[in-house]
Amino acid sequence: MNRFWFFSFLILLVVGILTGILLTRIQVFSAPEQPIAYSHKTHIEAGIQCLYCHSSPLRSDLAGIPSVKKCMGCHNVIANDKPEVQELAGYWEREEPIPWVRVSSQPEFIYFSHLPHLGTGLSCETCHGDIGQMTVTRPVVKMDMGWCLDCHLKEPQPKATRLADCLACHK
Amino acid sequence: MAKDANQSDEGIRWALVVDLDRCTGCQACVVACHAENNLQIVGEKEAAYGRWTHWIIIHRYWEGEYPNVKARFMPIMCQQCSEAPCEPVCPVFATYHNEEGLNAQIYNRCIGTRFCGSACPYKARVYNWFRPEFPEPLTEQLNPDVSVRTRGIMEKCTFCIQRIRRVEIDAQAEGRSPTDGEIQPACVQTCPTSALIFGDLNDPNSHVSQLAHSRRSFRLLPELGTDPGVIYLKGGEVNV
Repeated sequence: MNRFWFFSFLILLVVGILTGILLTRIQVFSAPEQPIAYSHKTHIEAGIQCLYCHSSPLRSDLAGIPSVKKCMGCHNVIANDKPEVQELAGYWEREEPIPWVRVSSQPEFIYFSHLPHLGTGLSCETCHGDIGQMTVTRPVVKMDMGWCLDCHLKEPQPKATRLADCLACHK
Repeated sequence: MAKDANQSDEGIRWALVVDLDRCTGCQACVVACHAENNLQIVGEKEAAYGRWTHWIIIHRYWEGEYPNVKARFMPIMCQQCSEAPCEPVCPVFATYHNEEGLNAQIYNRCIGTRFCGSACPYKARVYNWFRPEFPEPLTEQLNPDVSVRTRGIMEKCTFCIQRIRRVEIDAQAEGRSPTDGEIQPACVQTCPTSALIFGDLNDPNSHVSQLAHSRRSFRLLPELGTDPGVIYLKGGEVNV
């Protein structure tokens, strides 16, 4: 009888841990719901460069989210019969910013800048995945410390020492 | 004994020179530090218990006999010691020495034993006794480059690591090294009498290393062998 309880407890524990891992992964990799169903794929296939809309990663910390004005620059004339574009036009007429939901983020105690990362020749896809094929934008990696250090430690010395310093990212 | 800072060495060692002959004790550096580094304000009553969070404390001394009395001021911040007494006592390695001669404090690791604060001979470390509260609209002026420390965390002067990092990244993007005097911690930037000078002590041409070699230079409690990165100047002709 004792053995029965022991094994049922063990199975429960294992199932619990696996469920926990699964739920965490679902939470991390789930796509947040956006105010407008925006598709990166459509725009990339139309031949637009990442940097046209996300214009500042080469000169600042943040890549930047395009303003409604920038969207309307094209969508005044392009595809303005689509319901999503009409939603966009609604924001434009009401003079409201679109409350986009952030997909990739760093914790508040981390200093992160796009500038040095792009400066070493990384492309957007290295961290953000094949975003040009995404109809719904979702994160492809869990941006935790182990993931950051995976690259930082592969750099040649003495750069690796400098990049592995806690103060390189922790603020 | 740590390596002598006067010897030339490869790599950077950040240092701060405090010219006591120029310091007027105006506390502008303390205010600038508060604004830059999101320091909480505990109030008069708690500060009387020694629970202040200033990263810079200005000590006042009286010199001479009445009527020829002079007020002397001495700003004391983390001395960024090469042989820091705070580092070996930390049970969780939250404080360590980095490659650029900075005594780093990693808030995520800190569990608030306050051993480092007890070990520090300069009493430069402060402890967050309370949950930081920034009433509106003060939340709007928090520096996004510095985390807001929660209750139970030890903290201290960082030489404005966020500013060092910013200048280094910008200089790297332009394909050059930071020039002497380009990096300015908040206290250095705000000091109205230029009593504070920041730079690389290992660069023999920097303003800081030249001042460090002057006959006026001294360090606090040199007999402890901590080899501080803050260098004080005193004994000039300037009369305050």
